Amino acid sequence: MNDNRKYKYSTKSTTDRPEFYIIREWVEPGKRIIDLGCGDGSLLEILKTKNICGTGLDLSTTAIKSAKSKGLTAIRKKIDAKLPFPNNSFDYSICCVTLQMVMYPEILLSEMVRISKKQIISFPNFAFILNRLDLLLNGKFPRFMLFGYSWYSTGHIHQLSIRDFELYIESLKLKVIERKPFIFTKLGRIPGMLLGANPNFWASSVVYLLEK
Amino acid sequence: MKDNRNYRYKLNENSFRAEYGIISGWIPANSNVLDLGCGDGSLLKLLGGKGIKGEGIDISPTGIKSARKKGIRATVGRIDTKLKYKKGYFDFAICNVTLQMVLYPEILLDEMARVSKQQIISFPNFAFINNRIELFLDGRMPMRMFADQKWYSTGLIHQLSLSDFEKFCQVRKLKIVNRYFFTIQKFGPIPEIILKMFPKLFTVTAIYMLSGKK
Repeated sequence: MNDNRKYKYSTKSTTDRPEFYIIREWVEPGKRIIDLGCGDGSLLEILKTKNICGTGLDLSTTAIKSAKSKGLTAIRKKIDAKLPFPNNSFDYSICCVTLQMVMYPEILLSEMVRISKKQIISFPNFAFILNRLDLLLNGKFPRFMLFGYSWYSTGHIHQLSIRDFELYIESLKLKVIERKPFIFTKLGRIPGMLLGANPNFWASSVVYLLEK
Repeated sequence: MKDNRNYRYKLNENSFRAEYGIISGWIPANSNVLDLGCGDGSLLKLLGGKGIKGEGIDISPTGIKSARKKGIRATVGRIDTKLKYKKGYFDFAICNVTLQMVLYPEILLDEMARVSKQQIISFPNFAFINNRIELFLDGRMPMRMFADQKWYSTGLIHQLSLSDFEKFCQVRKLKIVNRYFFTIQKFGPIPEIILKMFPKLFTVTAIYMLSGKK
């Protein structure tokens, strides 16, 4: 069985996610970035095409190996703990679909805010309509965001909704510069503007650009 | 804010939970039990008074310290990993409201089934009516059952419902021999007798007794 609590990557592993292209649009060339939970380094590799050089951090040894084999700078480290960088070391810190997988999400967020001027964060929306219906009608821990895993085997240990996130960053006094909600489908990404006024209801994923 | 990811106990801490009464009623005197996630050892102490011998494991050093102070045999350790006991060593393995707090719940359940003849497991019901309403109408990760916690600071990392648990037991061939549901006592004008008829909706905490692999 797949077990994403172990975070195993093959050396040749590459990942392609719709969030990557949204992030590439947002980050300007030549900026200093850090990718927290960089996995196999695929996002950093995509950013390289825009002349953005970054550092990656990940807990998984195999991920770091895979990222390094792509010629990237990557360090094995826990991301939801105090990070070894001075204040504002980076223009952007990025955490792409990993916030929901750490034990201390609030430490991860506060460290991102400390070490970078802007923050890019994406996560699956726990309040996606299908999740709501799965709990309401089937009485099950919602499975739609778990992509084949079940309640016990998922690495998603602190799931959250768009509303949960926005209430939290408001309490931290962070400013939302951009927000891109969308539906992740097998055929690609259905963009947020088709989702109407309530992305917390319709969107399965979201990417934020924040500023202090 | 309370942070139950740190599992800190005071040395003289004593806990009492409603599940204790049911659990102690299910275990015959002179049984040999293992309490996984024993915390401050209060449950083992209560069982000891009934002539039930046992030991506990908990990840929290402060929990173990407090349990030992009560005269309980207890060791610091992870419970969702291979346990050092032989097959069928205990009459009962207990895991009281801790299943939802571990990273590898399926290993915990498999190990319980291996080291004991019968297993007692309790957990909060994620599909409790208020949780369903909170996610459906408010669009938030349900947290009202745990008013002192937030989505980011909770130790409830693998939540589950009665349906999730029973399906798991079916797939893993674990036989359910007894169940007890703590249902909510009041829900609008609905009388308690009706609430008890729909445990999946109105159960706050469920306790199951299993008898190992089928």
